[in-house]
Amino acid sequence: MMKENFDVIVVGAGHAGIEAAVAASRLGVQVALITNNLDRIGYMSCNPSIGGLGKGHMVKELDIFGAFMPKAADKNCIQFRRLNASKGPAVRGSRAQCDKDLYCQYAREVITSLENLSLIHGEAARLILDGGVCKGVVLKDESQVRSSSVVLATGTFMNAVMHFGLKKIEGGRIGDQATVGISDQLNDFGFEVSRLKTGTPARVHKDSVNWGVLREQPGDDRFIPFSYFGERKLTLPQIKCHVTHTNERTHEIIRNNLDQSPMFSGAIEGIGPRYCPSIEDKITRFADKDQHLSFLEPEGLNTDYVYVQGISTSLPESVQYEFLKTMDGLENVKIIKPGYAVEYDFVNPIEITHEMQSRKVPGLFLAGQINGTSGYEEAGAQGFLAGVNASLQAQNKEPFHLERHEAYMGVLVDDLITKGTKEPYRMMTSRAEHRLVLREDNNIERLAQKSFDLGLLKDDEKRRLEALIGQRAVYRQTLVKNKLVPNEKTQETLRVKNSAVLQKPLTGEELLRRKEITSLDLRDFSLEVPDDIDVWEPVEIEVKYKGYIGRQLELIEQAKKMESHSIPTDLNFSRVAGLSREEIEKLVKIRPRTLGQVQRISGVNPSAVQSLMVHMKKVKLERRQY
Amino acid sequence: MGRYLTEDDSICAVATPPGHGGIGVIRLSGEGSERIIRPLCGFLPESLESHKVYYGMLQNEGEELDEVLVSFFEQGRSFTGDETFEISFHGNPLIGKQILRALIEKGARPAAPGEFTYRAFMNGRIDLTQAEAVLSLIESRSEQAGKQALRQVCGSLKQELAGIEEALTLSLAHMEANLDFAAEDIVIEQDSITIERLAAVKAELDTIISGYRRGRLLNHGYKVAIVGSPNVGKSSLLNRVLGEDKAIVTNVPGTTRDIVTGELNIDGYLVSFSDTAGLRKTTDQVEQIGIEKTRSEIQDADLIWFVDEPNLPGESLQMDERGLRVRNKSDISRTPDFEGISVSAKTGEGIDQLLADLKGRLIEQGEESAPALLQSRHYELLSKSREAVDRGLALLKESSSPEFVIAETQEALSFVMEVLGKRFDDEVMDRVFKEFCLGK
Repeated sequence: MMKENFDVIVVGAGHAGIEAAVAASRLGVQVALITNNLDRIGYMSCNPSIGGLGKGHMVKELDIFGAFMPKAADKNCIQFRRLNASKGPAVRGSRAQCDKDLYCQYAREVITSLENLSLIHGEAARLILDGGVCKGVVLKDESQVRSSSVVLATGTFMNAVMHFGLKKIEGGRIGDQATVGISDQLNDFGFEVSRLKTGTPARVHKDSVNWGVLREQPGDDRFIPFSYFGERKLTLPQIKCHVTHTNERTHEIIRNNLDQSPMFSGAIEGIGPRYCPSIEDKITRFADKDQHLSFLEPEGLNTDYVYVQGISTSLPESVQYEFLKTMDGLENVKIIKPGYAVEYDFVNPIEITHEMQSRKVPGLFLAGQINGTSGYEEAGAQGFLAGVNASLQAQNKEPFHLERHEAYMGVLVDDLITKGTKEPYRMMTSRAEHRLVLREDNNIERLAQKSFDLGLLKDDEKRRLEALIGQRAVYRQTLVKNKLVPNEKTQETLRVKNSAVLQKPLTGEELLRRKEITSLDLRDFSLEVPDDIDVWEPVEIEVKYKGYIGRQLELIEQAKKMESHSIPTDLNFSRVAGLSREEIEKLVKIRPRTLGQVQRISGVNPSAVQSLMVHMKKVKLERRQY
Repeated sequence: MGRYLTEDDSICAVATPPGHGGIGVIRLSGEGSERIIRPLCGFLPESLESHKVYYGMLQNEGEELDEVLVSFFEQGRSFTGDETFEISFHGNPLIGKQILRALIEKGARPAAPGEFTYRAFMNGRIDLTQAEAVLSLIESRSEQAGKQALRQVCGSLKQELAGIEEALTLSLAHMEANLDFAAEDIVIEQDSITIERLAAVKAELDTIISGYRRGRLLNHGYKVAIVGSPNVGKSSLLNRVLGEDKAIVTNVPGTTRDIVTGELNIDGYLVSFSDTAGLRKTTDQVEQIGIEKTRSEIQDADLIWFVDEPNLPGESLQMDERGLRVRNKSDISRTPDFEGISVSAKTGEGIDQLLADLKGRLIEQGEESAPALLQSRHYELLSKSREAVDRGLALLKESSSPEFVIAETQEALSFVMEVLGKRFDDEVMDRVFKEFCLGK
C-alpha cells in the first residue's frame, strides 16, 4: 500500500521531531510526522523542565525561528527560575519546570493544528532508498510513505534496553516499545552505530513525602518568558519544590549494593553522561562528599508523581526504597515508578553535515538523541535545523546553517560533527568559545534577520521582533545623545545613589556603565527609559559589558579568517605533505569544511592546519598558472 | 604564505655567509637530490650512507670546479627531513656560484628565503619555537648567544611554557566546571586555590619575561654609551678601549656629531661602544641632531659611561643603575675620593679597571637563571599573557562573575599557545618566516 507523497517525513514526535515538523510546516512544505504513540507527542521522559545553563540559551534561540519549545515551556510552566542569576549576563540560564501532562497535551494540540502536516500513527520499520538517496519510509504494516527527504528523530528507542537493577526489559521508556530494524539498516549503510546509556530517577507519590520537614524552594518572583510571542505571563498556578539531600547512610546502602547496579556490574556497555551522573556515579566519583543535593519536584498540578531530581539510578527497586528512606522527608516514601537506566543505539554524528544531513545517504537527516545528545533542548535545536534543511532541499533552495559565533545551536552541531561524541552530549556554556556574545538577552540581534530571510515567522511574530529592534535602537540613541551636566540636581541625585559626583558632563551611556547605576536609575536624571524590560535590559547589558564584548568580537573576526579558508570537497588529504597517517584518517572521516573546523578536531596537530593551508594555496597558485 | 610554490622539488643555496671565508657550504635538499648531485660528483660510491662525508673533485661537464667534501643525510634524518647533501667547497664566492649554477642546470631550484627551515617545519622536524631559534642561531653574533639558541632548539623554553599552559588550562577547566555545575551544588575548586595557581603562573611569566633583557644581551650584544660634556675626551676613550682610531679626535669641542661605534668581543659577549656627541646647548643644527641621537642612545644602552674631567666636573646627571661615572685625564690631575673610575685615555691608566667593571656587569646579567627569550615576538606575546593573567586575578579577587575571569585566562592561554606554535593563522606564520634569510 502506498500513502501519498510528501516533501518531508519526520520519524518520531519527540522534542526533535516536533521542531522539525513545525519548521517544515512554517516553510510551507508538505510534511508527515510519524509516531507510534499519539499520547506521547512531546513527552518529557525524564525531568519535566526546559532550559538551564546553555540549554536555556538554545530555547531562546529557537524562539526567534518560531519554534514550539519556547512557547510550550512558557505556557506549561509551573515554576520559573533563572539559574546563576547573581552571575554575569552570559552565564545566566532560564529554566521552566513544566506540568508534564499539560505539556504533552499542548504538544498534541499544536501538532494536530499545524498547516501542511499529516500525523501518521505507525512504526517506521525501514527507510526507502532510491539510487542511494533516502526517499521515504516503510511502516511496520508494510505500507510505504514517500518523500523527498526524511528526518530521523527516533530518540532513545533504537534497540533500546531498560535496566532495573540486573533485570533487563526491551524498550526505550516505560510503556513504550523499542524500535528495531532501522538501526540495523544504518549499520548496513556503514554508519558507526554504538551504545549510550542514560538514566532517570524514581518518581514517588506526593502523599508519601513528609513535606513539613523540608526546606521550600519557590520559583523566582520575576518570570522571564522564553518566547516573545505568547501571552508573556504565567498562566498556570506556580508550585514550590523542596530540597532534601543524601547522607552517609544513603551512601553506605548504595555502596553495598553497587554489584546490583548494571553499570557497575558491567551489564551496561554504553557510556553514560558524565554531566548528569547517576547517584551511584556521584558517590563513587565524589567520594569525599558526605551529601548530595536533591530537589523534590512535582511533575504537574494534577498528578501524584514527584520527580526525585539528582538521584538518577539503575539499582533494583528494593534498594531504591532502602536508600530513599534514609533521606529527610522520604522516611515513608512510596515509589510509583522506580528509577532505571536505558541503553540505546546512536550514530556517531561525524556522519552528518552542518545541515544535519547524512553524507553517506543523501536525503536522510538525523536529529536528536540518535546523534548522541542528551536533553530536550539539544534535541529541539537539531530537529529545527534538520527540519529546515530537509524542507529547503525539497524546495531546491540553498541550505541553512548557523556558525559557532552566531548561536549555541551552531556550537552544538559543529561540536557533534567535528568531534563526534562518546557520551551523551549536553550543552554547557563552556562549550561556546564566544559565550560573551551568545547571550539569552541578545537572541534577536543575533538571529532575527536570518529568521526573516528564511520566512519562518508569521506576520504578527515578525512585527513583534521588529518593534523590539526599533525600541531598543531608540533607547540606545537616548543613552548616547543625552548628556548629564554637573549641576546641583544631578550631583544630589548621584549622592543619594551612592555614586560619585560628576567632574564633567557625562552621557547616559557613560553613566550607565557605572556598576551601581541601572537603567531604572536613569529615570531620576530625567532620561527616557522604556518600561519594557525586554527593551532596556539587553541594551544595558551591551553598555555595561562593552569592553569584554568588543574584545570577543575581535576574536570572532580572527576566527572567521580561518573559517574563510574552505576546503575543497575533492581535496585528497593523503596527498598533503606533512600530515600524519592518523591525521589523514580523521580528516577523511570527518571531512571538515574549513580550516577553522580542522583546528577543532581533536588529535589533529596545529602543524597539520598549516600544512593544509599551504597545500591549498599551492594548489590555487598552480591552477592559476595553467 | 604562498611563497613556496612546490614542496617536492630540490632546492639549493649557499648556506654560509656571503664573502670570502675558509670554506663555504652549499645545501641541496629535496626528493631527487641524489639524482642531481651524482653527475657532478663522480666520486660518490654506488650506495650512499647517511651522515658520511665523501671527498673528491666536483666536475661539471668535464670542467673541474673544486675539490669538495660532500655530506649525505638520508630522508628523515636531515635537518629538513628531506634527502639532503651539503657540499663544502673552498670559500671563494665565485666557486660557490659555479657549483650552484651546475646544480640548477641539473634540476635544482634556488631556495627561497627561509625555505630550508620552512621544509623542516612542514616535515614536522621542528616546531615553531624551534624554527625561531634556528633563526636566532644563525643570526646570533656571539658564542654565548649561540649556546642559548641551541638550548632553545632543544626546547627549554617550550618546557617552561608547557607548564604554564597546563596550569592555565587546569584553572580554566575548574572555573568552567564550577560555572556549569553551579545548579548541582558541586564546587570543583575553591576560588582561593585558583588564585594561588594563577599567581604562580604570573610569577613564572615574570621570570621568563625578565630573561628577555638577558636574551637581548646575548643576541644583540651589550651596549655601552659614552656620554658627557663636549671635549672631555669621549672619543679618545673609545679609541683607547677599542685599541684603534675609530673616532676623530680634535681639541675642538663638538667634533663628534654623529654616533661613532665600535665592537669588542669580551668573554664571548659582543659589546658595542658608542661615542656620542657632547651634551651642550648649541645653535648648530647638525650638532643639535647629534645631541638628540645621544639621548636615544642613552635610552637604549645597557651601560652609560658619564665622562667628565677634573677641570670640567659633570653636573649631577640623572643616574640609574646603568650609569657609571668616569673621570678622564687622570694623567693631568687626580680627584681624591672620586666615586667612579678615574682613567687616562691618553696613557691607558685605569682602562683595565674600567673593563673589569664592564666584565663584572656582563657576568651578572649573563648568569641569571631564566631561559633567555630570543625573539621580541615572544617578549610581546608573553607580556600580553601576563597582563591578561593579572587582570583575571584582579577580577577573581573582587569576586567578579567567572565568565570574565575565564575570558582573561583564555586570552592569557592563547598568547602562550601562540609562542608554543599551537595556534596558527596566516599572520603567525608569516611573521616568523619573513625573518628568515636565504639558505637557512
